Amino acid sequence: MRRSCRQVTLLSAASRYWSSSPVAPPSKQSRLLLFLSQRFHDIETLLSWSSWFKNRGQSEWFRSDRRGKFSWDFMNHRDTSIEEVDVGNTLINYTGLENLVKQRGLRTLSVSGCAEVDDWFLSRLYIFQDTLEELDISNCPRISVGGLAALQKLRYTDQHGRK
Amino acid sequence: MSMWKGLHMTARAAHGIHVSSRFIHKHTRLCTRNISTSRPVQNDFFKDLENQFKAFREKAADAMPGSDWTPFEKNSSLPPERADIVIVGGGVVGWSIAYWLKQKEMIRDGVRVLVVERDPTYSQASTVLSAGGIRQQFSLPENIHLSMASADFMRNINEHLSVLNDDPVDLQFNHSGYLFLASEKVAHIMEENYSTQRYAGAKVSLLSPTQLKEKCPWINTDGVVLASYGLENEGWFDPWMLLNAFRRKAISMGVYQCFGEVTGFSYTTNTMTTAEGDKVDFRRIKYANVQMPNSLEYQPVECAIVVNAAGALSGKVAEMMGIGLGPKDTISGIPLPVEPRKRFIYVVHCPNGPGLDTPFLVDYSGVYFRREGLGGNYIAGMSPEEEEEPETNNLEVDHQFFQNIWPHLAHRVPAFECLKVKSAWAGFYDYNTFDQNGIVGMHPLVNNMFFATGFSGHGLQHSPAIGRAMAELILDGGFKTLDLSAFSFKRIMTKEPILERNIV
Repeated sequence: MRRSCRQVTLLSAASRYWSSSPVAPPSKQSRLLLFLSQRFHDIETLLSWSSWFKNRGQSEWFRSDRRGKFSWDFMNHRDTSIEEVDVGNTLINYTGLENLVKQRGLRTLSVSGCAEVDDWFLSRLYIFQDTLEELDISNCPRISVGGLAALQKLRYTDQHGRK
Repeated sequence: MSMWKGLHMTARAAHGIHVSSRFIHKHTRLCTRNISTSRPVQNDFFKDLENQFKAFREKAADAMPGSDWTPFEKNSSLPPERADIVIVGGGVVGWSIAYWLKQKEMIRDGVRVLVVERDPTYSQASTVLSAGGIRQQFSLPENIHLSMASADFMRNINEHLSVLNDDPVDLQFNHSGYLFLASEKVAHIMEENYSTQRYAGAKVSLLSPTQLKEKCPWINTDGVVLASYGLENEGWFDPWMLLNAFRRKAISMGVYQCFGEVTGFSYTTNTMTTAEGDKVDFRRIKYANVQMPNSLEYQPVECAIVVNAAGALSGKVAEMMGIGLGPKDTISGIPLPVEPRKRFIYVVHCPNGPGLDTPFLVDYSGVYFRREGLGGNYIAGMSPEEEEEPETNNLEVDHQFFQNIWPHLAHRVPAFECLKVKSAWAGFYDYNTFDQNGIVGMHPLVNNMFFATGFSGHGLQHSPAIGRAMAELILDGGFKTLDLSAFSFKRIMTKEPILERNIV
């Protein structure tokens, strides 16, 4: 169950080993769900570490609990890359994307309900053009046609979103 | 005076002869003044005195030289008699400079800026007739940095140009990017430009023909060896919105706007002798004569600095100062090499065209087109050859010229074989005949005339950064953020052009 709050980032871990992966050995990519807040500098530093290598596959969602504390479980997975990011209902904007630019394996991004996401934010998503598969830009009031024109740079994305 | 008024009211209210405060309180509805000949009256006296002192100070300031007061009634559409900086030309470059001058002044009302524009309808202004594109794909690092700085400005435009209680600025920026196509002959130029652009920090990518076909299936890659696509900060926007945003903000900061034409300058001349014995005239502008539209009335505006941002007509403004009218092989004989060049834009409709994904495509044949709106319309154009330059005394469109464009369009995009020309317009480039790049800086002989002109089609996309650079040059004495000394008038004197190595 995901519960999202505007001001507080949630962190709760639910581990489930992805043991039924057919193709590769389990030590590939894990899925993490992060609610990012620009106030959390430790999260920013964490993401700027570039020494992520593939270790084991699991699908976990990392959120902070009600009091805004992250559990330190993700430190166990410092060597994996992030696949899914959900920054819905936060104040992320163009400058906030700096935190995500190193994530070369990003597959899913959701910025649903973010009031500060505008066309310039969308124009910067070309960084993930090779890997991004799902992009959710629903309920972003500042996006217009000009920004949607920028999304043509994403090659594999299956786009769905609604105003 | 007010005392008696109060008495009168209380007399009515009290129905009696006794005038005292007790009666007043009962009838507070009718009389709101407390009449007693003690403290309150003395407060009024001092308050009046304060106001009288204030009025006296204002009158004294008006009487001093340098104020705007005149004993005669004058036409309010005339510009003020004195201004610190007069900007000739109210296009996007002129207003950008005005905004940045006010932005950078150190104290409130530090500089009085006047923008003089001769056409209030902007019917022939290059700004509003432009296709509105912005790109970083240049070969000169200065141009790349100018574009990047301008894109940064436009990204945060509401932080810069929003006015309280007014609508936010919406440039309608389409982030579709520019796509340049190169043939075999010019592919090496594109590769060199690519490395320059990447080094300068622009986000550009090179595409092979197969990648190009995969990205744009509607394109015919015949003859294309390499393509260069801008990933970020490229596209097109609405020039009128940018112009009005600058204008609205600058006026809210105190810039004076005048609709009139600068017809001449009054200047003083200081003749000095060089080491070889030649005489050189140094001129200093004292007054700029601004003539009202459709009238013989004019106002000489006393000014310290004149900025020539007149676009296509900058050459004529420079001639008013005698730049270029001196003997042939002297500095004063070198004219400002900016002249108007007419360019056409055709609006075509093609329902099966490339659609929303169309970038601003520039082919190696010189033809370019971009999407316009969401109804299957595109605008296309081409730079003519030197010999075929159209006449510049009007803005009439030559529809025959489209016959030169159509074959290239249809060849490149097969869907364009069945298009219909809906409409067309023409606009002027402020074309720098010397090297097609801007001229920014002071003139060596006219020490208080600054140029910001000659951008040859790139003025709009560089305007925010040019404005900032000019404001730094004027107020700080030198360039601070971007060094545009490569664009100074000096290269015209020494005959060293800095050319853009375009593929077209």
